Amino acid sequence: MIEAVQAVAGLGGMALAASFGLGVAARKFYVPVDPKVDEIDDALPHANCGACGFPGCRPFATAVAKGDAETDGCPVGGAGTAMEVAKIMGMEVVEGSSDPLVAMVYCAGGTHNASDKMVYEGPHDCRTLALIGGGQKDCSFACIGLGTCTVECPFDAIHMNAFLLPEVDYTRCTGCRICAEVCPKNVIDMVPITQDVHIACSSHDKGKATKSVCLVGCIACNKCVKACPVDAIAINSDLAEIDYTKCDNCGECIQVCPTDIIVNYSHKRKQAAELAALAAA
Amino acid sequence: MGLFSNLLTFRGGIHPPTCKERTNHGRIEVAPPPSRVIIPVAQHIGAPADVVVKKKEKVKRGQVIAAAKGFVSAPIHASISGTVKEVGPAYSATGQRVECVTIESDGEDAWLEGLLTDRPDYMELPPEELREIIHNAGIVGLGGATFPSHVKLAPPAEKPIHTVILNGVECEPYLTADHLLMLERGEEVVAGLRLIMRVVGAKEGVIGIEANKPDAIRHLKELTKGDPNIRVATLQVKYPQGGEKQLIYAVTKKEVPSGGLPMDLGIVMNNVGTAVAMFRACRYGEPLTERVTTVTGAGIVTPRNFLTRIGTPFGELTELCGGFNGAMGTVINGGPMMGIAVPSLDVPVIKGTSGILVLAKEELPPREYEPCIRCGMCVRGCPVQLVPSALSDYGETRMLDELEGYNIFDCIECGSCSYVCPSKRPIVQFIRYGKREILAERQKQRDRQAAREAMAKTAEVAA
Repeated sequence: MIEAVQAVAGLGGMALAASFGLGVAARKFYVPVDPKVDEIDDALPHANCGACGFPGCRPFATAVAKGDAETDGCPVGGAGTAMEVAKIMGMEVVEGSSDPLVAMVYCAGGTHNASDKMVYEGPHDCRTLALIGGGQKDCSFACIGLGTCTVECPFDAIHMNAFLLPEVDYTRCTGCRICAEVCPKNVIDMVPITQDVHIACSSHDKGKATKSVCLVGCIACNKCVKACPVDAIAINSDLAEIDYTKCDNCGECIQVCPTDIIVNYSHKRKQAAELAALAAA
Repeated sequence: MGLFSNLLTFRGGIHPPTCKERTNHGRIEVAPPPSRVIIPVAQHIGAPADVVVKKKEKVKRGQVIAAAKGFVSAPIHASISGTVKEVGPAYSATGQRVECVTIESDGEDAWLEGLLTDRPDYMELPPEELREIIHNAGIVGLGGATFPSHVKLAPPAEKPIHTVILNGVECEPYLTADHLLMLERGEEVVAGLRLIMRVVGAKEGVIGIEANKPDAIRHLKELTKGDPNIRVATLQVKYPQGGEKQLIYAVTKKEVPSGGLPMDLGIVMNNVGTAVAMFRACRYGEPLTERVTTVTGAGIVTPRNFLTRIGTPFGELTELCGGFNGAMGTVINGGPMMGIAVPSLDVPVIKGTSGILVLAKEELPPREYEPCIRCGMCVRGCPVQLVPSALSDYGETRMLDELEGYNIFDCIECGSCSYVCPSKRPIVQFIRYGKREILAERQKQRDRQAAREAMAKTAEVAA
């Protein structure tokens, strides 16, 4: 009996001493954490993708609370998250300030359209291939097609199609920019999701040079520029570019383009919207 | 030679078959001026030159068609006389599409008037003037690296140069252009060495030659016999014996510091071909419009060496060699170790084209690579004492901090590691990828820092 009492008293005493020590330590070595960090952290999507430029959501939240990062620095969360974070930071919020962004592939030179200049044997990564003569395609601006963007995408929102061109899944793309940053040829950029009409080419070669390497490349013929009723298209060093702040998706340019490089993605947007509605319901 | 060779060399390296017997005899043949030349404006390391001619303009041989932009750059000259047919992107021998000037020959092959001037007293000119002549002649390192020569010849005052080493090693298998050049133009090689010594103010001159060129060694020893300041160093046959840092170590037993340049040791190194070009520029006023190129390989009917114009399409030279032997495999600009496969036979000979190597199809089995088995062959072969196996693993997995920890920037990309790798891993490719990613990452950090500072500034102004 006495042994049992001794054991309980001994262990209990040690537990008391230890808990007292812990209590003192917790007070003494307390690191004040800005309560905002936790709040912001809770508001973030927790993909930990790094698209904000910080190693993950928590470091980003810490940076926002300190004032080192913008409240709308999380591209994945979009406008909703930005507003929440701004509210936590005590900022005034203007509602509906911008459309969410999605990735857009500015190249239509898949294996069916663009010719190759060499056969490549080596690591299956666009970035290593790009170091050898700028890629295996004849067009020096074209998508390389080894799918580094599909590997790096944290949301599984971009896939290679049958012609080895990446295609964006608009139901999943969050506009985090990671695909654009890993692409060695810079053929991916972010566009507002409301934008339907795009010129899917990045080639700044002269028309004749483009024609010789790709069936569909922009030849800078100027037809779309003339056809555009709102003056949204301009030729920038042998490549037609749409000013998305002016474009109203009328599609006149698509009718006149001789190489069919201007595309309409309205069906994709619809698809995304339908799926979003489905998810909400 | 043999196992206990007392010839000079460095640590590491590999022994690929030299394959030089196809072209290391006979003479350098003068290729007839081509009917059309394609001259890229980016043939050197540094800023591409600015095109100064227009379409349909008549040009003469030696006329500047693209002017140097900045200090680390070199002008480009027309290599034939004729009419500019096109200015626009075309494939260069590096496999990239770059701005090129295409000239169609008028058949006269006339030099620009007043350009060629015999200057027997060129050694009396002040070094600054000689450097200027070399710059204006568009001379770059003809060994293949194509670094503008005048930059190398202008060391800062706090780094006095005591030794000039001429690189006649030619350790790349197959190539014999420098070998035959030393045999046929030995006098000009030695004159070029004396010229470089004068420009940089060096007392000592060394010509480094691999032991597999005994005739060239004999010839140059003969030519420099009476000169106490110049010696010929015989080097062990090993790749990459002709690498700048490897040759310096072999000759002087001094190591160029990591991240440093030969001038930190008081040494300047030039290729023998570059020395000849410099001599011809200073003595005769000749700009760089031609070079010696080896056309060789199992895929070529009669391999030989050519003195050919810059801008000659590869196809014309292979035609002069009797065309191809059976199924053509790959055509490489340069040697098999560091050369780059070209996308078409229309690509031109550029200043750095030391050879055109045509490999037969059966020489190129498909190359599937496997994981590293930690055998250490690459570590033993690395001439700069790196750990290529670790670098390739970290490159493959994109672990950039580790790459820097393993001194990735000391890699000279010689390819010895890939050559010996039993898993056939593309080690150099991973290393090159790693280097590029680290530089891109640093740039990104700098951009972010700049953006942050700009933001802080506007906030300050607003407050």
